[in-house]
Amino acid sequence: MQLLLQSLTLALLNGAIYALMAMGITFIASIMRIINWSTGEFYMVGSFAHLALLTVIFPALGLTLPMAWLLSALLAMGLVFVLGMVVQRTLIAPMHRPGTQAFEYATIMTVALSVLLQNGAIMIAGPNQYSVPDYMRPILLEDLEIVLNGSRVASGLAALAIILLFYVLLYRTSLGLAFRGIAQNRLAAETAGLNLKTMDMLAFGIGTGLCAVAGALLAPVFLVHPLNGAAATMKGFEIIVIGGIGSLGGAVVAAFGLALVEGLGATFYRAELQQLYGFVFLIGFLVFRPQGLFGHRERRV
Amino acid sequence: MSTADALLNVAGLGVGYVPGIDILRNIDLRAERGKVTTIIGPNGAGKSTLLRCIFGLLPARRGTVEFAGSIMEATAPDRRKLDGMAYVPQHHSTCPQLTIEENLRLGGWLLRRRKPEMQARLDEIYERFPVLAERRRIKATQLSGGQLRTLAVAKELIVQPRLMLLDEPSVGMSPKVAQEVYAMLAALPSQGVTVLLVDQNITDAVAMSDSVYLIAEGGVQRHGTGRWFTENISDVIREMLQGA
Repeated sequence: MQLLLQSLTLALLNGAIYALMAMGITFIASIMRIINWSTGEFYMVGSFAHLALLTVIFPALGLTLPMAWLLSALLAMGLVFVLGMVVQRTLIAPMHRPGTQAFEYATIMTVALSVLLQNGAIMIAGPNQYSVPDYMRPILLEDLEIVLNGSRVASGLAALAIILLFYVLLYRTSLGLAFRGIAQNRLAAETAGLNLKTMDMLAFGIGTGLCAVAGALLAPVFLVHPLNGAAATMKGFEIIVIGGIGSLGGAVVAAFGLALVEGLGATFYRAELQQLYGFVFLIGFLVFRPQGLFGHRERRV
Repeated sequence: MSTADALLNVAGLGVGYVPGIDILRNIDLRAERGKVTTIIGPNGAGKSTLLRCIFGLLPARRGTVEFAGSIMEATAPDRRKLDGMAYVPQHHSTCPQLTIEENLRLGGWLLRRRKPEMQARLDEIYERFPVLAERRRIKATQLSGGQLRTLAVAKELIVQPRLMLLDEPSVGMSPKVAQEVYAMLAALPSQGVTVLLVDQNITDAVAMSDSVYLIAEGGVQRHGTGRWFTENISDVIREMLQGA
């Protein structure tokens, strides 16, 4: 019973962080109609920015805050938000002309960008693994007789809060209404007077910022190294296929589903096969429900 | 009609999609303030392309688009919207999964920081189009064809544009619903909106127009008043069919 409770709790916390990643991918895909293959690398850049802030910059500035890890993760998200917008405007936007052949090249550009960012990180930080200090001490729940990893609890709760804020942005603000409009019909948004170039740039910044904060929050659990984005990319794409491409709600549900399958499989069968459970889950969806949980069978026209 | 009366003045316009091939070669056209101007022509004449270019969705290869006395330079639809131009495309001009009210608020993007004004305009729209008021909380995908068209027009009217570009407003509609849409459009000039209409439904469109242009083969083939076109409709249709 304790084992079940422990794995369910961890699945909830992991699911929240997976959801951030997947929302980042699916948000960019809905707005810009391109898949960002450099998602994992923005996750990696987020984790490095977090590492630098937390272990070098804050101590150098003499900052000793009670929740420095949270401030650092949010700053990492902000930095990558700006980096994402610069990258979108300079490298992707020139090719991102829907309805033209060049549009396909925008996706290829994100593949090239992933190689560039990986190798850039290796050049700067070397092929080493780094760790950040734990966010919290382990939490002992005496009544239930379970122990939870404090860093996971802290990062999972922070991720849940960011997801909530993102939903508030999307469903309670005029900017969110504009994004939802663009996701459904770019022309209708353009005739409303929206500048789609600016909105695409913002969307790319927000999407990559979400991935970056996931990388930052997970830093004490999965370590920080130049290739840590690869697994994150894989996870993110598993989730958006299961949830249905373009569906933010689907991404959140699928993220928790995947975390649950992985957690239960690792606890009750074999821990070393944890990555495999997710793929079996994915293949099951591709066979029985290829459009995903909340996707549509038809492609958008 | 002097040039000063023209809200929109298009001169020598050339537009195309593929390098070396012009869809429109040399278009001269004016839309007078507070009037309905209609463009007719055979399929493929470039009528929709002309509207797209006027709204800034396509760059002009040659010529000028002058709106309210200023030459429109860059292809930036958001700038033209800000200047008072609105465009209702033939298809896909609303967001199906947004509610009616959300669609209208999206159309009122320029008013997003002026909340009381946005609410006042929404109230005006609901008063003018009760069919939308009754359904404000339902998604656009649940509307009928005529209601969707009304929503598409209302979505642009909410910012009180000076010029409304409309592409085939009655396409795919039953004659009864089309009549309702034309009645709504015919009322726009009295509300201070100049209308530039592209239509295949020649008889109805010409009947409500002050000025009509027949375009074919990349240029204006004939220009006259709505009354002249109505009186000579058979000849015009024959001319269009021969040109098609």
